[in-house]
Amino acid sequence: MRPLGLEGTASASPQPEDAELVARTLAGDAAAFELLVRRHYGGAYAVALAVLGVRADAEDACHDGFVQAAAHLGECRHPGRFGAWLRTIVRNQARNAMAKQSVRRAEPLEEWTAAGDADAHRTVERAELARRLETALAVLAPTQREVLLLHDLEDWPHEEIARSLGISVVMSRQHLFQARRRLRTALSGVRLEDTHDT
Amino acid sequence: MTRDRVDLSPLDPRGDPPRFDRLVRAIVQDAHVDAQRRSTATAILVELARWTRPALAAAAVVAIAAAGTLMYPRPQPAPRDAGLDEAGIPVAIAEWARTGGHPSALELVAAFRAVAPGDTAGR
Repeated sequence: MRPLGLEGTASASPQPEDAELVARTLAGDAAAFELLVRRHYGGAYAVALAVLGVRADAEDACHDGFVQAAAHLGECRHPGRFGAWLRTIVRNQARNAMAKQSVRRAEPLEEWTAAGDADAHRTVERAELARRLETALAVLAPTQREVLLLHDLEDWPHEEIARSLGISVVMSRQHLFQARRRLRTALSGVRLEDTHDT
Repeated sequence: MTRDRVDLSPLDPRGDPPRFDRLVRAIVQDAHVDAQRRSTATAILVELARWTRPALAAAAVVAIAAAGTLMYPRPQPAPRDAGLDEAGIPVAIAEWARTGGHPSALELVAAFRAVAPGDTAGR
C-alpha cells in the first residue's frame, strides 16, 4: 500500500506533480483533485490515526481535512508541497475532533454490510485484527504512533518522517524502535508498566 | 529494520479497495458541493454589490426630495385666542378683531346667527 508518490522525492513515474494537480483543481478539474486525494490519503490518514487512535474518526478527519483543503486550495502558497500543507490541516482537524470529544467508538455499519457473504469471514477477521491494533496503538505516545504509522503503514523513509515532524532522523528511528517494542508488548497482552513517550 | 516491521495493514482503509473508492468519491463529491455552495454565496454577494450603486442613488434622490420638503415650513393655522373663545365671541368676529378687518353689517349678523341660530329664530 505504498502511496503513489512521496512528497519531496524524485519519482520516475509519469504521474503529474502536485503543483500541476493543484493548478488543475483550481481550474475546476475534479479528476485532478481525486488524484491528489488518492496520492495523499495515506499520509493524512496516518497523521489523523496517530492523533485520534480510531480508524473511523481518522477517516472522518481525513474527509473533513480534504474538503477544507479543497475550499482553501488557493491559499496553498507552495503547491509543490501540497501534502505537507494538507497534513497540517488534517492534524488540526483531528485535534479539534479530539478536543470536542466527538470520538466515535462504533464500527461503521457499512463495513459489515458492504462485503458479500464470501468475504464476510475475511472482513470480520480483518476488523478484529484492526480493533486489536487500535487498542495496542493506544498505549503509544502520539509521536510514536505517527512515526510508526508513517513508517510501517506508509513506507515513509526516516528522512521524510523527520522532515514532516520536525525532528531528527535519529529521533525518528528511536521513536520507531520504542513504538514497535511497546506495540508488540501490548499485542501480546502484557501489561505495560511504562507508557510514557521516550 | 524491515524484518521488525509491524503489519499494520488491517488499519489501512486502502486494504478494502471498493470501500476506499467510496471514501475518495465522498471526499470529491463533498468538496464539489462545498465549492458550488461557496460559488453561489459569492454570486449573491456580487449581485448585491452590483445593486449597491443604483440603490444608493435612489436613496440620495429620496433624501434630497425629503430635505427640500422639510426646508419649506408648511403654513400654520392662526392660533386661536383662548380668551375670546371662552367669552363666547364667534370665531369670525375674533378674526376681524385680530386682523383689524371691517365687516359689513350683513357679515356681522351672519356671524352672530352662526353662534346662536335658535335665539334669532324665535324672535
